[in-house]
Amino acid sequence: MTNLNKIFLDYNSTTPVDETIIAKIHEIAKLPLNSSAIHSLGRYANTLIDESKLQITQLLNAYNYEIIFTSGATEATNTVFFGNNFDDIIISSIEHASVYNCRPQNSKISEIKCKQNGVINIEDFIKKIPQHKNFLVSTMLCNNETGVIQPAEEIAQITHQNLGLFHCDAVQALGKIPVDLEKINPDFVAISAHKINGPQGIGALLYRKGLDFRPLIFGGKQQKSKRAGSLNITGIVGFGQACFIAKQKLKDFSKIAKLRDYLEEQLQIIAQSNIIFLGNETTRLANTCLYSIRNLSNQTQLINFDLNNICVSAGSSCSSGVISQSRVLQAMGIENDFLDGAIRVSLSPQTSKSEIDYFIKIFSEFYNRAKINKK
Amino acid sequence: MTLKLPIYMDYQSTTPIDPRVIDKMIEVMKNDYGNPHSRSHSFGWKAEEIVEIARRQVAKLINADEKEIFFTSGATESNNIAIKGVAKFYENSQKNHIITLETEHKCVINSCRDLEQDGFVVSYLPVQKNGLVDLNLLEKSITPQTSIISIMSVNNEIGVIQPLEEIGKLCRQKGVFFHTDCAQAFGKIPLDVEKMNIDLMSISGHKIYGPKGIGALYIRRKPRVRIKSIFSGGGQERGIRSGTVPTQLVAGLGLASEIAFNEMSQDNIRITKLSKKFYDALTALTHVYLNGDKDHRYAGNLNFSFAGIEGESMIMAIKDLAVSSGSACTSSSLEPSYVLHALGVDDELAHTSIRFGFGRFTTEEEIDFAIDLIAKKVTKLREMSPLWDMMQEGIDLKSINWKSH
Repeated sequence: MTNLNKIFLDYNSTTPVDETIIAKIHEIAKLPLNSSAIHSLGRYANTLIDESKLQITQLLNAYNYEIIFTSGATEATNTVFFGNNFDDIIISSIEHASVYNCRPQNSKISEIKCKQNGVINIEDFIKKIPQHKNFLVSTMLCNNETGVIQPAEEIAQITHQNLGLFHCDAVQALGKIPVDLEKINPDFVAISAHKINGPQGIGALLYRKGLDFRPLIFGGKQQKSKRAGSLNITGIVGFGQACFIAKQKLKDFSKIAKLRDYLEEQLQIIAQSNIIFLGNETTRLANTCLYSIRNLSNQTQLINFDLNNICVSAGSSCSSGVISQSRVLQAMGIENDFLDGAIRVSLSPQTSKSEIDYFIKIFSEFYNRAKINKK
Repeated sequence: MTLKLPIYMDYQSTTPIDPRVIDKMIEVMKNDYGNPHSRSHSFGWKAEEIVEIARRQVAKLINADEKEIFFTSGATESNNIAIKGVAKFYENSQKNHIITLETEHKCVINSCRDLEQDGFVVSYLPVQKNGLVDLNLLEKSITPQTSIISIMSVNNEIGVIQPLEEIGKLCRQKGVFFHTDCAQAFGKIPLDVEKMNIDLMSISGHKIYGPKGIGALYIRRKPRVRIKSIFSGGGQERGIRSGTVPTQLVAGLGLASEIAFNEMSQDNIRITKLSKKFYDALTALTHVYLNGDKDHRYAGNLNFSFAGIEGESMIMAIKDLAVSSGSACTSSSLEPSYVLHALGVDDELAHTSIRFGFGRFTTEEEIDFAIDLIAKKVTKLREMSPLWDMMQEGIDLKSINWKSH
C-alpha cells in the first residue's frame, strides 16, 4: 500500500507535518533533553519549552493564560472535565467525541440543541443553565464536520454571567481563523498540534491564570504539578513552530474558500436538488465542505473515492472505527433521505484546482452512474 | 578525537533517540501522515498498519500478545491508568487495598495518594537496606481486600532490580494483580510477562532511545485484568485510552523495542564492562559508597555517595559530566532523595549522592575521562573539607553537636 499519487482531502482529520518542522524535530531529537534535569541540557530544554509557549501565546493572544502541554486535545479536555467536581456539565449536541463522550460519573450532563444551520442554539443553552454555580459549559469554536463557527464569545459571556466556567474546544479553529482569547474569554481551551501541520501526540490545555484544578495524571512536579510526565520536547517544539507558521499564514487560509466554493458550485450543478451542503448558510471554516446526497450511502461513496485515489471521510475520523450516521447531521435535523450520504471534503492551502477538478470529475461519473432514488 | 562535553551520564532521566529511530520517525512524518483512526482512505490504513507493527514489536520484547499492548503518552500515564484503573474497577468487589514500595517512582506514589483521597487504603512498604523488597513482609501485607501490588522492576535512582519472578508468583498465589513500572527496565533487562506472572506493565519510549511523549501499558488478557479508564473520548485503544494515537511516536517506540530485542545482550555486555571499570575506580577512592544492592542491579545505573565532601559542591565540581542527584523528576527541587532515605542512608551521605548512568552511546574514553575528573575533584574537595579532616582523625561525625551561629 502506498500513498503516492493520492489526493488527500481530509485535512480536518490530520495534516502533514511542515517540512521545516520535521527538520527542527530532526535536529533536537538527537539530544537527550529532559527539562527536569539540572545540567545544561535540562536548561536548554526549558528554553525550548518557553519559546514554544510564547509562540502559542502569540497565535491565540493568550497572555493571561497558563499553558500545560498534554498528549493531545482529548487529554486536555479530560483534564478539565475531571479536574473539578462539577455538579452540572453542559455540552452541545455537535461536540467532538473527545468532549461528547467525556462524562464524569458525578456530573449531570445536558446537551444544548443545534439549529438547522449548524450553529449552537443560544436560547436552548440559556434554558439549560442550572440554578447553582458549580457548572461547566463546554462547546467547540468550530465544528469538525461542518466547519461552522460557533458563538463561543456569547456562550462564554452567558456562562460567566451565571458564574459558571467555560471550556472551549478550539482544535479545528486553531490556525484556521483568528482566535483571540482576550475577546472570547474562555476559562479553559483545548488545542492540538497535528491539525495545523505539527506532529501527532502533542496538544495543550490553556487555562486562565489563577484557576485551579485537580490533575488527571499524577507523578513528578513537571508543569507546576498540573501534568506529570517527562515533557515531549520534540512535540512541544514542533507545536510551537506550527503555531508560529500558522500565524504568518492565517490570511492564506481564508483564501481557500474560493476553491471550496467552486467545488460546491460544481457539485450543485451536477446533483441539483439531490445534494445539500451542511452549514453553508452561515460562517464556516474556509476549507471545509460537508455535503450529503439523497439516498446514497457514504460507504458506497467512500469506496468509489478510494478506488480513484481520493482520500475523504464521512465526518469525524475519531469515532471508534465504524462509519455510521453522523451525530452532527442528526442534531441539525436534516431530513432522513440525507442522513446516510454525508461526505466531508476538507482542503488545505496547498490544495490545487486540478485536484478539485479531479474530485468533481470522479464525483460526476459516479453520481450519474448511481442507481438511486433521485428527485 | 576530542571529547564532546558535557559527557552524558544521565541515561535514567532520558536517552538520546537512536539515529535509526529518528530516521524511521522522519520517514513516517514525511510519507505516512494519516490519522490511524481514519477508516475511509489509505493514509488512515497505512498509519494504522504502522501502529499495529509497532504494537507487535513492543509485545515481542516482553513475550506478550499484541492485543495486550495499549499506547499511552508515557510511563507516567501508564502508571496512573494501571493503578487507578484497576483500583477503581475492583472497588465494587470490596477490594480497596493497594500495596506499593516507599521507593517507587513519584508517579506511582502520587497515584496512590490520589486514591487515598478517594477512600482507598495504601500500604507503602519499607525496603531492605539494599533497596530490595522484603518478600516476607510483602506476603504478610496482602489482605483479602488487596486488589493490586505495584512494584517497579528497576529503580530509577539506584538501579536495583526487584525479584520480579518471586513477586509475580506470590501475587498469583494470593489472587492479587501484579503491576510493575518498567520505565527503567523495558528494553534494558530481559522481561517475560508469562514467566514473571506480570499482569500490568508500564513502558516508556524515551528511556530506551525512543521518542518522548509515547509509552505503553501491557494489560494481561488471560486471566483478564479489567480497568476503569481515566480517559474518555473517541474510544481509541479499545476504550482504554482515547485520543489520536500518534503514528510517528508509536513507530519510534516500536523500532526502539525491536532494536532493544536484537541488541540488548550486546549492549549489556558492553555497559557491564564500563560499569565495572567505573565502580572499581570510584570505590578505590575510599569512603565512596554504592547505594543499593551490588549484584541485583542494572549495570547502567550506579548511584554513589561520597563521604567527606559537602553537599552540592560535588555536582558543581564535575560540571563536565551531565549527571543527576536522585531522579530527574525531583532533582530540580534539591530535596534529599526519599529513595535513599528509605534505604536508611544518613542525610550527609544522601546529600552527596550522585547517579551515574551508562548507555548505548557511552564510550570507554568517556568513562576514563569521568573517572579521572572525579578522582581529581574528590581529592581536591576533601583537602578543602574540615569534615574529611575529622574523619581522618577518627572523629565520628554523628557525635558532633553542631551549633548554629
